[in-house]
Amino acid sequence: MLKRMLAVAVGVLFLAGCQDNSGAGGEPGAAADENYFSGKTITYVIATDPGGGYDTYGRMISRYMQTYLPGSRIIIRNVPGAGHIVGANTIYASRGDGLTIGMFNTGLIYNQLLQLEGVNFDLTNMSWVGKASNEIRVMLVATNSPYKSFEDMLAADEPVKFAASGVGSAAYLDTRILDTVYPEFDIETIAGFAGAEGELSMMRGELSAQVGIASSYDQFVANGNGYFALAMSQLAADLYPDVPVAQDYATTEEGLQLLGLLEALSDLGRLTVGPPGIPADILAVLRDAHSKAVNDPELLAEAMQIHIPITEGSGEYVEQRIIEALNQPAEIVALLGQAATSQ
Amino acid sequence: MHLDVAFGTLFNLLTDPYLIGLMLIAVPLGAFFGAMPGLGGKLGVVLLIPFVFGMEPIAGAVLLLTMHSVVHTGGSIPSILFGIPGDGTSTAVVLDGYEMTRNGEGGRALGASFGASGIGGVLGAVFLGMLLPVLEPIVLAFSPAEFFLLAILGITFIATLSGKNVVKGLVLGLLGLMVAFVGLDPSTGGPRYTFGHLFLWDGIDIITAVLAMYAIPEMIALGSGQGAVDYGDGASKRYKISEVWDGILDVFRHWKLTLRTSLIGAVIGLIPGLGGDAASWICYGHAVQSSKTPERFGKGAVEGVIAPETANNSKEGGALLPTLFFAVPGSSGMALLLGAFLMLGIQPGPTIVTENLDLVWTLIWALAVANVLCVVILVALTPWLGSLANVRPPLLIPFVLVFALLGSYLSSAAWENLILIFFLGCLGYMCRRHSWPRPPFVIGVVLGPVAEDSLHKALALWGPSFFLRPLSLILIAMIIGSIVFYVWRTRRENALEGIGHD
Amino acid sequence: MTEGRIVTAGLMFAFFTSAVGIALIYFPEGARMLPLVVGIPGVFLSAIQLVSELRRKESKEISPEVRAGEIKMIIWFFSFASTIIFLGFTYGSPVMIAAYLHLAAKEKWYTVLIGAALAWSVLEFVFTRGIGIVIYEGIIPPMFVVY
Repeated sequence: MLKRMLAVAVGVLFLAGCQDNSGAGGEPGAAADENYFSGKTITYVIATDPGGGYDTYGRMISRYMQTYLPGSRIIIRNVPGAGHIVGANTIYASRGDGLTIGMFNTGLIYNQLLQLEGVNFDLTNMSWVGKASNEIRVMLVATNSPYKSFEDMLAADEPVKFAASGVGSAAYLDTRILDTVYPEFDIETIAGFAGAEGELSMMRGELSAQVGIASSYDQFVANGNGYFALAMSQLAADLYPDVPVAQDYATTEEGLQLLGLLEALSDLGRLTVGPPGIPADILAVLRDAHSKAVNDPELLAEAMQIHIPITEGSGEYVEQRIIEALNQPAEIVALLGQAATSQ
Repeated sequence: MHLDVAFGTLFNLLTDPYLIGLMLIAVPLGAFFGAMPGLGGKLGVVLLIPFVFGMEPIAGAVLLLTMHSVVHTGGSIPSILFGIPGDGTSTAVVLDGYEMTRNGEGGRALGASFGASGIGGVLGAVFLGMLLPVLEPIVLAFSPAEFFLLAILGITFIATLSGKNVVKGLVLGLLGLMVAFVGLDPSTGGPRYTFGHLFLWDGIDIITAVLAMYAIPEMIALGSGQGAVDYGDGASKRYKISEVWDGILDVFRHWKLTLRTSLIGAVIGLIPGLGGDAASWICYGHAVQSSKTPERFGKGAVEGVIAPETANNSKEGGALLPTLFFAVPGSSGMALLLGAFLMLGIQPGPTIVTENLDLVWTLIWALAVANVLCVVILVALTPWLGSLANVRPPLLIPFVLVFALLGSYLSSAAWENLILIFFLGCLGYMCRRHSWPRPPFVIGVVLGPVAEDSLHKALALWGPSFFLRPLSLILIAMIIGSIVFYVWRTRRENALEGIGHD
Repeated sequence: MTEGRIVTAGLMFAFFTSAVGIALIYFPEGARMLPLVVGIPGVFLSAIQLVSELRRKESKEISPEVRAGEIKMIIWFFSFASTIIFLGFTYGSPVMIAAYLHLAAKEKWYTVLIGAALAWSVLEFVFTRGIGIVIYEGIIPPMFVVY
């Protein structure tokens, strides 16, 4: 009996004594400045397993943000599942005190627009901290395919086989959008190619193309296995001036509008965000730290070493673009829904 | 083949104290991440990457590759000592390894496992080196059609591993496959059997399933007075080095099996997209089928430790190939390493043979030497590991339960797994209690996703005639041959005792 | 008390029939193919096994102590899982390890304390601070401790 009481007492002492986050910076009521996070631990949620692109960006950004938030500690928390949805839900549901921020796939915009299952977040009222990159989408075509240019594909009689990751993922929807924008282009989307499986399949000659983010294909193109057939936004065209631009081939009004959505999405990549309700002054501190971190010359040097592109954007800018992107006219949402379900 | 480059780089590697030092750090780290269920080598590599910035390319690459290569060797330790698999691939070792521990032969099992891992890793690396010229056609020959058939080949082992209880084994195997279907369906993207739970969209976590089938039932059994470790005469608290050495020698005694399974493992690792999980099971099944006394498997046959362990390590050598030469990762762990190589300024791709051959050979040798180092270090630790295994059950059980729960949580960062592992664990215990053979379940869970995913892609790419491809036909012949062989052998043994898997 | 082996066989049969049923009723065409290909044989085979169990007379005697021991262990397992769900790993594990060592293993008080302290230190120093990964905090601690 006595031993049980002792055990309980020890337990309570543990709980009481382990409070190391009472917050040492700033008086209550004063506006937060960069020292607000001193002595505090920020949790940076990454919506994937360790090791992927988002994880790389997230870990790098948080490491540098830590230096611009003196006295703070940023720990990484990987919350994978359901194609970034679990991570996004986690961030959305966390306390709006500025101590939880994170990163997930911008493609979740599609999920919210189409009101797909599992979405427990609303991107329009989340606290956007900043962006670290663009998501330049291109169409990658295998060099061993019969199509030597985008026009070849448009003129083809038979359906062109495209690889895509899971049904309902951003890459899948991008591919479906392409199919819808060009009525004369018949794309057969084969889903289920995760990671580099699509590239391998292209090398084996099983399928011809896929849509995705340009920087992840650099190696593939450099080794002569593929080429970029289409730049899917003006931003992409700016980066790859020799590649034909998607907008030039669109023949319908709806097609142009859908491409406009893609254009908006291309501008937003590797976004850091917090839950709704973060007080404006604290958010300003986070945004400032993010901006400084992403512009830090050492971070830029590291990024260059790993070959990941960096394009910084402020939290305010991201917030504006997100709200615009989610404010689509009903016809576009309907078109998108159509594109998603057609085959 | 450039022999002077090959051996020159080995010499450089072995005589460079900095590189050896890095490897000595990476080996225990990698083994630790492999040993703790749910952590996994990928996390280890990710955590090391910030330290590797600014290192010289060769040094950084050696460090990361070393850590990655020894993860599976570490994973066999809890599998053998406690019956806790570190992941799906380590489960194959549990079948016989843990039984050996219970028979008092834990030291020998560890020795066999380390020896097999080491040899397998070396052979995988050697195999890698030998195949340099003919790489591309081999890698590109395997498509989703062949992946599907290879998965089916692995699944036919379900019957082989069921022993006497064929019906029960088949039922559990089919159950494992059904469990594998939980999640998003690859063809329509719609959720199946998820009942609205988001955490099930990616399927039932395999580590949770495996821990529920093996670790939990063992602890429940231990705690209720059954299944205690048999120390034989005079409880030996520490494993003697002589026992461990005996185990290592076993690898050489069964040299034909060792060679074959290293080869099979390396080939499976070579094929990007199949997934290395299949390797250990296919090799275990092969060992059972090729043995003259298959009834010993599941009761503590040392071949049951050697076969999966060689495959686990040789597949890493195989996976390194497409990563280096095509810049296409052979596995998700390799994807990580690929990123790291790029970061270090190493340009994977076909040009690497002409421009950076010495780097390639250094990496190959690093893989081999890492495995050897790992064996040496772990063998030295084995007596201490032995005392860990001989901890009294009442002291052991609560810790194992906590770490099984932790592993289940960690592997997908989902607390719901804790609920899942409770129910699956009870089911696992009922299977153990009533002689339902559990290996088929694990095979179903491990190979099910690959099978369905590949089938879907094969049908989408070629339609139902996909199996008329030449390589597919060969595989179909192997599958039929395997089934016929099994039936013939069972008929022949009807008078004798069957295989004793519980 | 129904024989455990019959319950097990019955559970298997129930799994398969409900899985096949759900597949037939709710899944669209492409999604239901493999679940049916696997599930329908499963229904038959598990039915065969169930019938075989029902017909067989039990030959093995299980001592009541072992039976009681099993139930106790399952209850302990349930307690471990639920305590950790509520208190998280870092606090829940020492509590449960202490509870088990004291109540089930009846170890001396210093073994209990050392066991609990060992669990807490490994979880805190190796996992949380050393590796830096977040291990589940539970439902209750986040209400008191700011994470």
